[in-house]
Amino acid sequence: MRRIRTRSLFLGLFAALLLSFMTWANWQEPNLHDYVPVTTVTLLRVGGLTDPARARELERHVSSLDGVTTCNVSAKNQLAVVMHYADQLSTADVRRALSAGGAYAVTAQPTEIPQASAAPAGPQCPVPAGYVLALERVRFAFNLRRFFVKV
Amino acid sequence: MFLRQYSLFFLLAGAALVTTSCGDDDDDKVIPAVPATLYERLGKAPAITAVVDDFIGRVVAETGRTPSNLKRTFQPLLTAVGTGDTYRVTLLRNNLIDQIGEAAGGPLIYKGKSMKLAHKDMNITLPEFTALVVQLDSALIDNGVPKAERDELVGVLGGLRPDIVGQ
Repeated sequence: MRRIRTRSLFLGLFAALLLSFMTWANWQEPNLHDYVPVTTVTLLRVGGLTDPARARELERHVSSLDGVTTCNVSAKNQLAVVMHYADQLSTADVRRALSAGGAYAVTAQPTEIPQASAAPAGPQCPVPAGYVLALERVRFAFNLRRFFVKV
Repeated sequence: MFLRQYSLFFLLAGAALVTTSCGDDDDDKVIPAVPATLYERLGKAPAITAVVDDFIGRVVAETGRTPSNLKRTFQPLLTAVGTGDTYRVTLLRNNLIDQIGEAAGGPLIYKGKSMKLAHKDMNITLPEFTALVVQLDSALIDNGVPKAERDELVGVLGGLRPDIVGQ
């Protein structure tokens, strides 16, 4: 008798948790960005690239790779900005493509720490962005309202 | 007897026949064509995403130039990217997709911060804002968006200027 009561209690608790979770996931309509794949940005310095024509050529080559959404190569600053799908093309693949078979020295862009007075001090979220994004993906996966929106 | 037994069936069948035959008249009616929204004319979510990705790439590239109008505004973002933290760029991208989608008349709303709150204490100047609009316009051109749609979108987003500049 006691065993049955304990099992009912657990089942009830599980049902309540499931209901709460589904309510949280379905409370709002999904966002438009939830429907598109996530990209990552890679910022690299391309040492030795000084010819603008060669930079355009390299830009076209990298842009044509599967998984690259946009590529911008500047000979003036020897800088490359690549937006790509990380699951299709890793940062290492991007580096390899930009080096053009070892012709250029591709390194990480050195970071500049801004001065406190010059940098815009916009409001910052105290929760790590990675956590927020992961939570968003979970919410979208269980949001049944997405089936009723045509994007 | 037979007719009495099946009277209800005949009645219902007759009613259905009359109803469906009356419905044929509706087919002749001309349904007025609903004009396509800017969101549809732009190419919906995939096209907006392509523009936003191109735009972010251009903005980051612009910050590498000397002089740069956008470096001051985007320096914290660039610092994060330089240390391998791309989440902030992803958040910016997501917000831009949602905002452009809503501004263009898309099916979903932007649920992020208001422009005033998002740009509070950032002291964005008019040249910085204009430089951003120029990058957006270039991204739209490169993605094959026609001039009419480009002007319409830039016009809609330009309306946000008072909430962004000088906050």
